[in-house]
Amino acid sequence: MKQRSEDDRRIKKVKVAVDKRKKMRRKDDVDNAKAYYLVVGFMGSLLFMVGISSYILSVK
Amino acid sequence: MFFKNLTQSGWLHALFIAMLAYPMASMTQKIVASYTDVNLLAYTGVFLLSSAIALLIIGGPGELANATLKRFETWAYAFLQIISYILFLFSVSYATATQGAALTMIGGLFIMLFSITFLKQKTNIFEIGGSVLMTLGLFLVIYNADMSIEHKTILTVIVLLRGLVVSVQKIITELHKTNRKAVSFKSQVRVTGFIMAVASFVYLVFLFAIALFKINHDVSFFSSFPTLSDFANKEMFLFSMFVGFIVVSSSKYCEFYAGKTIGAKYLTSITSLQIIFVYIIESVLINFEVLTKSSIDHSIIIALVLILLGNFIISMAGFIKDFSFIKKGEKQDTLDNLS
Repeated sequence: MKQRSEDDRRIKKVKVAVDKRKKMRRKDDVDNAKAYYLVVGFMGSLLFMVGISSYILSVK
Repeated sequence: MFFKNLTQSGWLHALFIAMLAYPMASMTQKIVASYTDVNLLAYTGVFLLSSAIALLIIGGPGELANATLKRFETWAYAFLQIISYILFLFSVSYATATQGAALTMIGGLFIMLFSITFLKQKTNIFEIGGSVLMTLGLFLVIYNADMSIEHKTILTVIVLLRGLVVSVQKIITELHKTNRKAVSFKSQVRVTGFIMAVASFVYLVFLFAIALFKINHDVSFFSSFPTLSDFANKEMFLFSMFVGFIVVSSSKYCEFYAGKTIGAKYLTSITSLQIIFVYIIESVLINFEVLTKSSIDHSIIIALVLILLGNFIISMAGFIKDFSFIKKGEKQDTLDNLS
């Protein structure tokens, strides 16, 4: 009986650790995606601005 | 099998930079400088930006993105780039183009010293011999320079500082934690993309700040820096987009890959050989009358040959040392002695 409850506790501990790791990985993925789209968006708009101003000034 | 190992070893990446990427970038820069009134610093800023976007698009979202942004090395690389450009501008005002080309090749000497002292990398008699030749070449360039002792001293200090800054930048490519963690092609491209994004952002902010400063103040040193209108130039934009998307992005990817695989020491010595390929491409373009013949300072040809020979010996010594590992498909860890 005692052995069984100890096993249950150990399994629960492992499950919690796995869940924690999964959650961390998911959070990491979300953070990485956020950073990626933020940087690409910012850099892209900077390049777009330089391009547009180059075009407008050359037409003038 | 051998070719696959060779491709993964990083030596081909370094050779690609020396034979194609750097000479192409330098030729396009020459064409831009000869045929347009484009400001070269603004042009550099926009091609760095385009290269970052190209790399980020290829890399796509995924691992190591956030970590690369937070790394100290990423920001150090970006700030050192600005210092390196400023020192380059200083050195150009004191030295001729040939002297400048020779002096930029001595970076290998500093990296050699760094890798022995800080990275505890082993060295052999050939590498020491190559370094001695490069030191001799550096001495000859400065000794033969037609200028006063005072100017020679200033030039020496600038050259030493620039060598130091460029070496630290190259060492960063070897030490950068997330760059070393990137295993797949996409991760490697993504990490390089993020580093370039930070580098181009810091560089552009610096240039914009100088441009704003120039509106109200007239400082002679800043005369070669761009004004705000220099950024709005159609020719500059098109040229820098092309160079950034194709040439700089591939060369930066290769630089960071080769930096962590073969090490900064050999990467720098191989890339220093670019001057030979620049000369070959330039001769072809002169033949087709795309470029006009540039003058060569013949007084330092011997020095140039010594520096080139020194770099060649160091890179060959590294390749021979690596060859048995490449044949077996093994990889050497350049930072093995650090821990």
